[in-house]
Order: sequence, then C-alpha cells, then structure tokens
Amino acid sequence: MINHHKFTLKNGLRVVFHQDKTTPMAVVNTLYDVGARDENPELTGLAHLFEHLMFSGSAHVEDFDKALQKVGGQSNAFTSNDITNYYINLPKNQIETALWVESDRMTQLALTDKNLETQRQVVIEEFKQRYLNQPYGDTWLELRPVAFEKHPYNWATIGKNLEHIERVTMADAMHFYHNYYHPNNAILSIAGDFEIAEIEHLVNAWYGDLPAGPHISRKLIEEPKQLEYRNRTIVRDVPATAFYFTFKMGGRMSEHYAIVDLISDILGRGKSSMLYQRYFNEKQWVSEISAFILGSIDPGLLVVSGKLHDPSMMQTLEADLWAFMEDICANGIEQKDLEKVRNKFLTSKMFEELGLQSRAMNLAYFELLGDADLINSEVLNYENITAEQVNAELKKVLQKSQCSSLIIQPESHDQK
Amino acid sequence: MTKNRSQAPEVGALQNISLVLPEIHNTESGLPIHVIREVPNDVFHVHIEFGAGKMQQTKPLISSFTADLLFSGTKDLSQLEIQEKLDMQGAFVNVEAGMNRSSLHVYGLLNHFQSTFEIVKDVLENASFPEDKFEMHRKAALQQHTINMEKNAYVARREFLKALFPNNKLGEVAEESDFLNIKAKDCSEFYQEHLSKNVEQINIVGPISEEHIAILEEIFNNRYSKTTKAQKLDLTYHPVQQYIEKPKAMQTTIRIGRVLFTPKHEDYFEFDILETILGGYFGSRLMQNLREDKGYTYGVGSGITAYENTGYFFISTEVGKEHKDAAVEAIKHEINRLREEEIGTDELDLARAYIQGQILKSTDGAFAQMSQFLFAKRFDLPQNHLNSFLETLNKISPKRLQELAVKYLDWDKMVVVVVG
Repeated sequence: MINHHKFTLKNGLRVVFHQDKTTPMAVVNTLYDVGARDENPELTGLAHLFEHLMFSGSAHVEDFDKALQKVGGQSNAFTSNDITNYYINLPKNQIETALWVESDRMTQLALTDKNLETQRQVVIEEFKQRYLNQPYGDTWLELRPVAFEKHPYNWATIGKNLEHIERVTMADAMHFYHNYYHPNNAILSIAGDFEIAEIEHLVNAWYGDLPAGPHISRKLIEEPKQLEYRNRTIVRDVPATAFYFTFKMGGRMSEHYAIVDLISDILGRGKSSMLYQRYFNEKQWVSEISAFILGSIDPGLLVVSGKLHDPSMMQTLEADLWAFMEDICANGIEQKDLEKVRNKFLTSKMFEELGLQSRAMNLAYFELLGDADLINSEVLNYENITAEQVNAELKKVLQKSQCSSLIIQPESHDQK
Repeated sequence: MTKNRSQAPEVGALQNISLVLPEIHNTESGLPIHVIREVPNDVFHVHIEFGAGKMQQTKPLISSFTADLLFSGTKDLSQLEIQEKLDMQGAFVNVEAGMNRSSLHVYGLLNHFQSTFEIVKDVLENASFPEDKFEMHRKAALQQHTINMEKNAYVARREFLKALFPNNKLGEVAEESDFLNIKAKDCSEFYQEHLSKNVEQINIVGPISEEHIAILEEIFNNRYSKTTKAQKLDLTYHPVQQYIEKPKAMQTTIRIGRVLFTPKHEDYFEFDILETILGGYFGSRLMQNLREDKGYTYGVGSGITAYENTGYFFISTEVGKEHKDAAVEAIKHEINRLREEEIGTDELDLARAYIQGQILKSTDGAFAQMSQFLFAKRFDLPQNHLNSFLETLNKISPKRLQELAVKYLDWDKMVVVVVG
C-alpha cells in the first residue's frame, strides 16, 4: 500500500505527496501533460527538444543544474509520446531548493538563442547516437508510420527526421512553452520524510502565486479501425534479419489493458514463454524473440519482435507464426500459463515499488490517468484476471487484420 | 505567504550518514551470510557469490557461457521445467560472471522462499549443460557479437581494454573464433570446479526469518571456500593512440584513459574527487565544454573501474564525426587545464556539495547499504570509510587536486581509442 495525500492549488496545480519516513532523500517529480502526440506533424521532436531547453535557467535561477548541485541534488527528465516528466533527487532538508528551481521554470523560463542552438546540436547528436548510428536504431522511426496511419503515435518522440529539429525557431519553442507549461497542465509529486502540513505550506508558498495558463483541450485524430494486415520490408546494413509484428490494443485505461499485458508475457516474456519455446527452442529459427506492450495512454500496440539466424527463413517463420497464433486462439491458454506470468508481474511490481523515485513518478502518472490511488488498485486488476478472460481477449487481439509488421533485411541477403 | 524568488533558499546543514551494517551469520562451515532485513515489501534478493570469474577461466567466454547456461538443465529437469517452476514461484534468477567472481542473484516473493530454493539447490547440485542448449546459446551469442561489432562503442571498449591490459586477462576480449571453439564440456568443467562449490559469501536483502537462513545454510554450508587472494597481474601497458575508421559512421566513439589503482590505494578517494570534477557529473568540465558549450555530443563522462587487482580511469563519449578531432582536443585541453591551474573555490564547493549528496544517496535504503558494505569488504576498507571520504572531501584543497592531476593525468600516459 503506497500512502498518498492529494491537494490542488487555486491555479490548478495538482499535488500528490507520499510520505516515507525511512529515507534521508527527497524526490520532487513534475509531470507535464504534454508529449510527442501533441506536436504539429510538420514540426515533430519539439516536445523532447523542449525538455532539453527546460534546463536553460529561469528568471530567478541562472543555472538550473548548478543550483541543485550546490545542495547535493541532481535532476533529469524524459519525454514520451504521452508525457514529459522531470525529476529531482536531493537530500530531504534541501527540498526548498528543488521547489524554488522547479516552480521558477514552470512559468518564467529564460531561454536564449545560445541555449536553443546548443541543445539543438545536442539533440541532433542524441538522434544520431540512438536512432541512426546503431544497427536497428531506426526501427521505431520506420515502424510507427506502418502501425499508425493517422494518430500522432505515427512518429517517434525524437521526431520524424533531423530536418524537423533543425527547423525549430525560438518562436516555436516559446509558443510551445506558453501552451503547455503552466500549473494547470502539471502534476507535482513529492516523496520523502515530511508531514502533510509542511508540504502543503511549502507548495503553496512556492507555487501558489504562479499564474494559471490557457486550458488546452486535446483533439487528437483517432486512429481509424485497421481493416487489413500491413507489412513493410526494408533493407539495412545489419548482420541479421529483424522482425516486428505489432497488434492493436486498447489504451492505458481500457478495461482490457492488464489482460493484454499478461498476454504479451505469456507469448514472450522469458524462456518458458510460448514464442521462445517454439521458435528459439523447438524450431531453432531465431536468436532472440520476445513480446511486450508499449503501455501508451491512447490505444497502442502489443509487439512481437525477434531476430532470425537465417534471412531466407523469413517467409517460413511468418507462415508458421500465423498458424501458431491461430492455434493459440483456438486452444486458449491453461490456468498454469496465467499463474506464471501473474506471479512474475507481482514480484516485478513489488521490487519496482521499493524505489522512492519510481513511487513518486508512478503516483504522478496515475494521477494523470485519473487518480493517484490507481497505484494501489492496479495489482488487484491483475489478480482478478481469469483464464477465460485471457482466452476471450486473445481472439480479439491476435488477429492478422489488426497487425502491422516491419521486417529489416540485411543488405547482403538482398544482393543474393 | 509567498517566497522571495530572487534569493536561493537557505542551504540545509549536511546530514549525517547512518550506515546500517548487515547482520553477519557465521555458519558452521564459516560461510558468511550477510542480512539486511529493513525492506517494506515481502520480497527477497539473495546474492550468492562464487570465487571464480573471468580470471579463472582457461579460454575466453567460459565463465560467461557457464553463467548463461547454469539454469539450462539438470539431471532430471529440462530448461523449460526449471524455468516454469521458477515462474510459478514468481522468482527471477540472474547469473553473471565478473572478473574475479561469479554471482547468482535470486529475486522472489517471501512466501515462496523455500520452494524457490529447492529449485536453486537442484541446479547447483545437478546442472548438466545439455549439448543442444549449449549449441543454441552459442549460435545466439555469436549473432549478438556480430551485431555488437557494428556498434562503435562496443568496438571502442574492446580496443581500449586490449590496449590498457595487453599482458593480463583484464584485456582479454572474445573473438569470433572463441565463439566457435568453446565446448559444452568447458562449461561443465568450470561449473564443477568453481560454481558447484566455492561459495564465498551470501548477501540477503529482505525481511527474512531464521528459518529462511536455515534453508540457505543447509544448501550452502558444504560449498564454502575462503576468498582467494586476487592474483598479481602484469600491468605494464603502452599509451597507444589508435583510430579505427568506419566510413559510413555518423558518429565517433572516443575512449581515453589509463591504468591506475584499486580503492585501497592512498590516493583513490582524492582522485575520485578530481575525476568527478573532470567528467563525473552534469556540472563537470567535460560535460560543460563538450555538450553544454559546444554541442558536440549527447553526453560525455569519466569514471574509475575498480577490480581487486587494479583499476583504470576512463573518459568516454560519442560525438558527431565532424567534431572528432576537436573533441579529442577539447578533452586534452580540459585535462591539461587541471594540471596547469588550480581549481577555483566556487567550483570545488559545487563539486563537494554534489558529492556529499551522492554519498547520502548511496546509503539510502537496504539495497544501497548492502552495496556499500560489500564494496568496503571487497576492497578491504574500514566499514566507516564513507565518513573518512567525507572528511577527505571537506579537507581537500585546490593545490592538492592540481598535484593529483599532475601526478595521474599526464596526457602521454593515456590510451586513446577513436572509432567511427
């Protein structure tokens, strides 16, 4: 049970406090309800580039990182297709410094041309390092547009291409800031050895006078129902064939989400999973295979991915995979298969909860989904799932017409 | 009441670190079992350390293949049966081969402790390294190696280690031929000789009871063997500079460093402070210069890797290919600046405060405290060494840091590997 206390300021800032009396550290986590899905399709990667710009300093804080380092703290952030999340770890008696720098940059960021130019270069290098200069690095740049035709999940958080990053102007950045960075578009969560009254007082003192911003209503294009199987094959300078079969599934708050999560584990988490047994062990066609879900807020994907030993086996594998999926749907799974993945889920969950930072982050995220208390009811969701529910859901999810795939073939194979 | 934003909040006093030491159970055989129980959830992490790793293997890959395949079958059970049994308990196992030891990590739910360790016991007594599982693993590992060889950072790390340690096993890297030559028999021999016995110590984090400890004692009591002293190594090396060109690369990996010492060396902790200032945190000189000022890279950092036998210092980054020469020059410039000028007190104070926060964080929670205990034990440091480190941190002067830079950061002693 993760304790928490919620309150909302007059300017709309939602606050979640989690008390942990055992730690000398504190975590201040700030989630902004903006991600890559909110970007203009012609200027993608801005949400993530902007995350970098948030470390530029603000009206009263010349150097964001330095102010924290001076009190033994440290900060970082990440951007996803759904959210932008900033976190600070620091000794608990220095918490005011975190509230000072974090509240100051919420509405008074001091951005210079030099900041923009430098971070543009840094992000371009990040783009190259993670997506362009690695074997299979561009997988998700290529796969997203196949899986999503209309919804903005059809581009990756880093952006569609380098050219979009190169084109961002100061006006674009400031426009984005004014739209999305304000108290009523944020969730602040604080974890540490404090009392409720103390936190309420401090948060009011540092955030209470910040002006509320415009209300943004999100009008995303819904992904139309997929009608038939989609496939794309590309050739790259890679040593082995990689395959990705993605299946449409519900979003984070869909009632089937937990079921599909466990389905992905049954299919491809670990060495006793169905796909590993069939393709690694029995057929011996793959060097690796796994299944997972993206975990997105809007309807997302269950992904089956792996690599082949022999590129010429791709068609054979694909034919067999479809036959196998049909078998799984027809025969269903046994109670034992469900118990295995559920127990593993419980262990992972309990270990994850041991970290102060993951507690703070998850509380903010669940509050965004509707209620911080979902953090405690989630386990129950998983515990209540029955084999019948799984079997019913299998038939809905593992349909070929709901699948989009990407195959990456090595160049040398192509030349043969 | 609103706050005055123009003024930074008052800096709180330095918090004392309170290091919880594990309970130590000395079993009949002398096998030490270390326990920290202060964990809020009913989970456990049992870490079993064996006294053999890469140093003890007779050919490359043996220790890591043995680790990877330890749970691939026993006399009576197939890999699938073992795995399904573990899954039913919600348990995870992870075996890894280090330089001087191998580790078996078991994570699980407390109410399944006994049944989980029945499986572990069977594996430790009867691991069979089946030929077919070995072949599958070899094939998959070779493919992964081939893929990794396409990554600049992987190639650079290999060349760097080879150059730093040309005369001992720390610099031994696996080649394709090693993947082809290794035999299942090599693994079963390594297991028989080292992993079926040779348990050095067991470290447990979790709210376990005496009954749980008794279960472990029963399994491991007769497998204890005292820690062997780390081998003396031939540590001579030549400060080579090497560029491996990859015509199609968009980025270049740079690794620079030298052989240094273990944490037992009198200069280790002071050098650690110097290294942090150079490249150990976001405010470091390298990060500020190469990333925040010039935008050459997404990240640059430095560090110290420590073994019982020795240690090395390294700087590592991936930069846009067009910046590779300028980046090496900028790194050289920052290294020489530490040697030529004293560090300003503001900068030193900043690093001090940052490191103090890190020390506090490194003692936060049961897992962190167990790591601290094991670090001190492994390197034969007093258990209160973090307090001594804090004293060193408060005392160290700009002059002393410059002395250390002159002594240890001589560019002519550096191995420089550039790939891409």
